Amino acid sequence: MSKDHIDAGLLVALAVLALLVPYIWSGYEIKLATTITIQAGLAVALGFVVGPAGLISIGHAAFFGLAAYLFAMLAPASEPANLLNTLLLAVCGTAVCAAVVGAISIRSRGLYFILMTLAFGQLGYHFFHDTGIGGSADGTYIYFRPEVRLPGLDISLDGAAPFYQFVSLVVFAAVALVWWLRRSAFGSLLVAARDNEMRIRAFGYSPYALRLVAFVISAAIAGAMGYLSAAQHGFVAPEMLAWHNSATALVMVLIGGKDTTSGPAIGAILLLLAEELLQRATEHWLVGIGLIIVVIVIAAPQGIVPYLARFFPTRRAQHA
Amino acid sequence: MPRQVLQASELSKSFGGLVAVDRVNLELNHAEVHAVIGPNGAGKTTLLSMLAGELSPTAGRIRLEQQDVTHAGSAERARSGIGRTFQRSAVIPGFSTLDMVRLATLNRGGLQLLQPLANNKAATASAQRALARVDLNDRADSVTDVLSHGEKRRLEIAAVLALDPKILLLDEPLAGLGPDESRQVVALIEDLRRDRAILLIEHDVDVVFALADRITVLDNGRVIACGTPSDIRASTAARDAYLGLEPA
Repeated sequence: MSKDHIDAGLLVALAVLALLVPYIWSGYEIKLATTITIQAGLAVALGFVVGPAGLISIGHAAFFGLAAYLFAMLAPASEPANLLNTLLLAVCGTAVCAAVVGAISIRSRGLYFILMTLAFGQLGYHFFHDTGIGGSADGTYIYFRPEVRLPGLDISLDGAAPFYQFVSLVVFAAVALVWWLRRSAFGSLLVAARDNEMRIRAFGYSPYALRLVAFVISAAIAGAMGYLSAAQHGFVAPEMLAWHNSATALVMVLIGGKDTTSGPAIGAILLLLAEELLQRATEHWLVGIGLIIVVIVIAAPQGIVPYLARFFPTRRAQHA
Repeated sequence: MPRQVLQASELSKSFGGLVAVDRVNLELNHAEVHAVIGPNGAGKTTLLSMLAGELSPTAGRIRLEQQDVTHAGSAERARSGIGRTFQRSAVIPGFSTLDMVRLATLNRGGLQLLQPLANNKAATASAQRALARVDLNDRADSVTDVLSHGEKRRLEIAAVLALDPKILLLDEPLAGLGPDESRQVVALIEDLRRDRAILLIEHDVDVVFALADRITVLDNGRVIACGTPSDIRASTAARDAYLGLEPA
């Protein structure tokens, strides 16, 4: 059993759990599961740039929020939006924006890259907060949940369970994409460029181009998650783009394990469940969250999933 | 008539006030080993880094075949056929020996990048051939971090061979190798020179004189002598700067 096997096993377990949720729970719990699933998707997208690409972005919430705003602007006022069209447009718009942000930011490395993404993220936040586009500080309502319109078939996502199932489908498609990219030669190249950039250049690759592609893919997935979040709540606000959301997603990535696909998802589930349960128990719940993060970082500095992998003996030397 | 593949003219590099390489002219012909020797700090590695595109020259030009590549980056030069090894072993940590060499074979990009390395049969076959040339097949599945120093140097050469470069820039390929490994690498260079141009930086004077068709002697960033091994042996300037220090 290697880290890859544990990672794949956890992803299968999460998919099975996602299938069962609507049959076990209802109402509030399904809405909570929807929120957690969307956040897990965002964390997995961020994990792909933080892990293999070595790009610590504190601006991913801006892509999440941007796509949400694009959807709010595209949605008609008096009828449900066509989900497939609006999702595609919102994601493509976000990807174009990410290509510009990435092309500028990825020239900087380390702390300076963090600073660039933070600055671009806050630029996005203030754009929607201050310009009056998208309702200023108050945000905008989306009065109808989008529907899936296929030739001869309209699928309404109005109920909590059908919407949850649709969200799970999109999130698992995104997670499968990240899983596949991490295992591909492209994923190996990202890791190699992170760990020995000079060598990868001498092999004839451009680490800059590799990282930019990874960044755009990750931001596009973050955008899809923002779209789903806007569709869930029927509301968008500048706070969706704010840096503390980016930082929360980064915490999820790090406690779950940046070098695995399932890690960030596990981190998101754990953090949001802990938040939910602690909030019910005490008003000082943030202290509890802080303690949980401290304990995990001390006990499992590589994250929970790599930590779990230690309990399964490896037969022979494996690749990181 | 030898075919010239790489030409540096009046190449200089300064770091602040320090002139590391000073107006160096150097040609590299197809099927030739051109050695660059000189004392430590003479500017050999700086020169090689400029030829590989890692350092941008302060002045001068570099031509690859008929093309001016002075301002091309190292990735672009690698794709146009310049392969280099590093003085300090530059393996990729956490990768298996085979995977590191496989990565070198995919630099044309394209859809093959979407496939896991292990599933790429063509990349695997050429990586295994490259490992066989340096006798590292039995280490194919080992993680690069656990290789011995000599094995890392040979892996380095295998990875460059997998690029199938027209021009090989070898920065002290024998440094730290045991006698058996050295003999093996020398034999490999003998074999490779038949259809490639090789620029060799090496401190082992016996090896240099045995392998090189031409030798350039650098001192303080300047070319003080250039010619066949017998010219260099006869050159008093070369002897004073470098060869005299080695009890031959």
